[in-house]
Amino acid sequence: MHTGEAPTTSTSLNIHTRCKELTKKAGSSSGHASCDSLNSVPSFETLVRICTTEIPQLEVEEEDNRIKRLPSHESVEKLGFDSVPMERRNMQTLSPASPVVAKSAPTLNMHRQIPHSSSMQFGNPRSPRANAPGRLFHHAIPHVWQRRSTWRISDNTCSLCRRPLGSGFLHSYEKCRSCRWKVHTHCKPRVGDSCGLTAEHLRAVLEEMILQNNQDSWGGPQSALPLPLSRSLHSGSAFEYPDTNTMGDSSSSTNSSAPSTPAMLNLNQNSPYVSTVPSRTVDRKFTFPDSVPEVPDIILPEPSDDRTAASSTAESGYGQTLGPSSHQSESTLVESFGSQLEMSATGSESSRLEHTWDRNKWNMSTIRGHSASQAWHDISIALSEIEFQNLIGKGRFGEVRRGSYYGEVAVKFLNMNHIEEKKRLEEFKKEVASLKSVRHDSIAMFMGCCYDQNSFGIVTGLCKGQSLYNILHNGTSKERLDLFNTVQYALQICQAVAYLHTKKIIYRDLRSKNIFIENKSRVQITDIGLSSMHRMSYPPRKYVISTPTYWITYLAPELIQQIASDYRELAYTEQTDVFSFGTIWYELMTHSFPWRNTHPDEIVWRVGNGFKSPTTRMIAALDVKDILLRCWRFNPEDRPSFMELQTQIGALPRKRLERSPSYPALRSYESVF
Amino acid sequence: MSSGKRRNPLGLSLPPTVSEQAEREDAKEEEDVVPARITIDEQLMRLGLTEPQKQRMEEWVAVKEGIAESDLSEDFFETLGELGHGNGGVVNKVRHKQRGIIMARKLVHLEVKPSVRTQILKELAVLHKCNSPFIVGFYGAFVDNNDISICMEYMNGLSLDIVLQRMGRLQENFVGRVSVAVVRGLTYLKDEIKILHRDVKPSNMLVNTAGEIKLCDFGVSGVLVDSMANSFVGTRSYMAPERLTGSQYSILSDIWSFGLSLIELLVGKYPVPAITKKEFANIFQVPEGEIVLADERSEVPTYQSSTSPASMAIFEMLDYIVNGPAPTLPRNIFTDECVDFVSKCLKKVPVERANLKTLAAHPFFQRYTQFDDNGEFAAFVAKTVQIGGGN
Repeated sequence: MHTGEAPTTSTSLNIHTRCKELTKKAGSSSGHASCDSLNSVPSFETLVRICTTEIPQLEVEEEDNRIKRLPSHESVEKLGFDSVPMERRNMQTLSPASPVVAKSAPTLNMHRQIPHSSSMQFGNPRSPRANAPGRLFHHAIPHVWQRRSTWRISDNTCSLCRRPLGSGFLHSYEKCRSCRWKVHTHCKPRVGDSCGLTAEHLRAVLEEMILQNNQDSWGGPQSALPLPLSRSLHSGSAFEYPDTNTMGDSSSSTNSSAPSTPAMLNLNQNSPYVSTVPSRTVDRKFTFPDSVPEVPDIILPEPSDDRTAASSTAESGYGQTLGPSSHQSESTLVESFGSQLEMSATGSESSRLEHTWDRNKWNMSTIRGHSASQAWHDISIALSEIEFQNLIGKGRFGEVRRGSYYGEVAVKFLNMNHIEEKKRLEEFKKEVASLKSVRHDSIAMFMGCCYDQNSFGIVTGLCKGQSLYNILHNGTSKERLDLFNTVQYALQICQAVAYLHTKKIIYRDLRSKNIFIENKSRVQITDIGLSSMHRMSYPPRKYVISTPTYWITYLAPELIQQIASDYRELAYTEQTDVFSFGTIWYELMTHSFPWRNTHPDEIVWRVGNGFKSPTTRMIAALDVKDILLRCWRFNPEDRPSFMELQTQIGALPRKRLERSPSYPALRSYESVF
Repeated sequence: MSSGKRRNPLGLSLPPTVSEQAEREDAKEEEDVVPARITIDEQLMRLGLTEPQKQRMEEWVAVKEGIAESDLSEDFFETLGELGHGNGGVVNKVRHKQRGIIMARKLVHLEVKPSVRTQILKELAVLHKCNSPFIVGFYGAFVDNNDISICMEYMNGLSLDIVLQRMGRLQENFVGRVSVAVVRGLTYLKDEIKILHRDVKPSNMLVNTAGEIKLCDFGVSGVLVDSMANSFVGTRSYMAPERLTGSQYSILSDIWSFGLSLIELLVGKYPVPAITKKEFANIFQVPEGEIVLADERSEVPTYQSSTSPASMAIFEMLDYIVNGPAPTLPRNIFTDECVDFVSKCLKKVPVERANLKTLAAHPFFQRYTQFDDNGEFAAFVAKTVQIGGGN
């Protein structure tokens, strides 16, 4: 299929030919009669314009009105996807787009995620919720033009009209400083905000168009995921999206729901964080303009990847890599596309979990440039590479050993006995997936995972020093923490957890046993997101749930109300983390746990009904108690966020105020004390 | 005490506490062998036991004396099997290698400071004084690493909760025997040892093929109870409503737990949420129309769990206990005295509840004070042992 053209052949030609081939292939493999309408492919210029301008109507290109609305499009509409409403434009809603690949799900993804579908030759606008004209594509990055003149013969061509740039010796043109496009001065106004829009993008767009038109088996609304209606950190309610990755076969109807159905949420609690739709951190050489451009996330299959739908970021190159590399990718693209089309014809394949494209899941594969398997490989450490030493600790969820792996590490072996053997590795991977992206000074550094058939270990940096639990509850009373240290530790904890929350990771298990104090000043927190009811169901006990010590005192009322003998997962949220912090604050102040000497049944009933632990042991200033009571509020929305807590705690005095006595004294206060 | 003050200038002294007594007893154990026997005999006299019971107690004492405190340590034990899990610990059937005695050993894993541990051991030593046919025998306790082992008399019928599992439910006369034993056991604990049980439930009532019914796992060591309390959450509760709402503990709360256990033994099902007429009809194979609930309620609203129909959340269950109606028995299936006895135990307002004396004077109780039932109960227990494959 490789045409063997010289590198400098215009891209549009390539697209034309490629697309023709693709349509032929597409047409033949899926046997749809509708492919003939796509026989003529829009020109490059057209495509660019389509992508960059908002076209309410179909008046687009006269020459292209052959590309019409196709009957199969209706099937898209029937599925009733709502694209993102207008207000969401500025949210980070784009996750890696589906590769133009076998699964129908990804295609749907693409629809969903692109906020404004252009009425790109698709007749009726898709009906986005706001009833705005449908838009498929919108790319709005303006170029940074700079006028250039050269006095030599060069064979630059205008990127837009594809004609040679200068005439004779004088070449005078506009060059974009970021994407290095060169256009005629008279072509410049026609360019629009297409900086960064490469040929690959457009190619992918075309493939999209082809696919949509030719696809028959939609495979169900696999990715019909509800979008967060209002997702701001302050509103706080963090939903967990069921995503195809963690739900395995996602074509069941339970996975789809109307966007505003809350019942849908919280279905999968395995991934220890709330997935969001973070923006892809693409390093661009310019800053985004104020109106956030919607960069379509198109994933192009990696040249190296043969069959499977690999992902790579599309934002490579700035339009100039149209040469050999594009050739390569094109050819592989065609081949892989062909094979993938066949696969798509056979139906939705949901078994390849590693490559499901879920726009809402911050997948390991969304890490730039890597396929999912490679991302996993990055964090895998062979058991043999670690030299294991002594057992440091044993908890409810597993044991921790000290080890040596290019330095001192701690390896936590998780109990996975609550899951049947075959699925253990999968579950383990899910749980660990989010940890990789966590980087904070106060959080024990995640180095990787080491596992084999029976043991599943998480390798983190070794936390030196004692756990806060030991310091507060097992130490001698002489070592009582003074206010300065308390505030210092509390602040660091707040900062670390606030960081986690911005990554939409819920700590879940914020306890003093998981906090280590190094050298009296540095705080390190560990064991993020590992707590789960399911794990506690093993070993099975009659009539009793065996929990980590004092676990129940850290649970917010809304969680306590959910504990049941069937070990259903609790709906952890950011606010439940805040509640746990409240208990830690109590511990810091009183060196004991709340609900002392109280039977768990009583605690469950009282906390669930809104009682707070008596704070008679807490002899502290009003603002200190105030922090506690705010964190312990019954209604989750009333609790402060960690950022607010930081401010409040930071406002506490660090030192005892130096006061002189109220009677006249010969000696000053300082000299006496 | 800060060293600044002078120590006890007036030479006052406090009456010896339980722990100090235990210390002294331990120290002088060897010499006191003979006097100890006398005190036990005295105790037995006070209890007013029947001949066979006295005999058994004496046998027990003899066996127990054979085991000195030092004999109890991890290496002398050979584990024969697991008897069950409790809150905080696992109970194993063990054999003392040297003496050849079979015991039940409860292992509690506790990570506490050594000072706390010694205190627990001291408090547990009180168990040595507990000699009653209705209280399970105690050999001794020791510490090994972070584990506390409590060695008790082995009861081959296991606990009533396992019996229920195997047999479904108990017939009224057996439950009558159980009631008498439990009430007597609770009275003993309260009057002689001056403690409350705090955890009355079927799994803490042990039986054996000799027909004996004994209580175990009572809160003799407050420190131990507190240390264990924070590492589990129970999915069933026998706690009285006033305890759940935070009131002080009293014997009446134990009586509530006792009443709830009785219903469970009679019906075969944990009675929270309230059992509907339909369920009663099913269990007793009686047409539904005939079921009359003791408190004359016309119908029990079937509880709709707010979260899922499958199981109630623990919180919902507790809330039901506090706010919902007290559990009752159907009237015509059981004798009136039985129904009355149980409902007196299950009054939600503590002051309305019967106390131990009232219960002991109740006709239902009186009916079963005769100990002899021709070995029916013992045979019943033997059957359950067989079903379990022999312990």
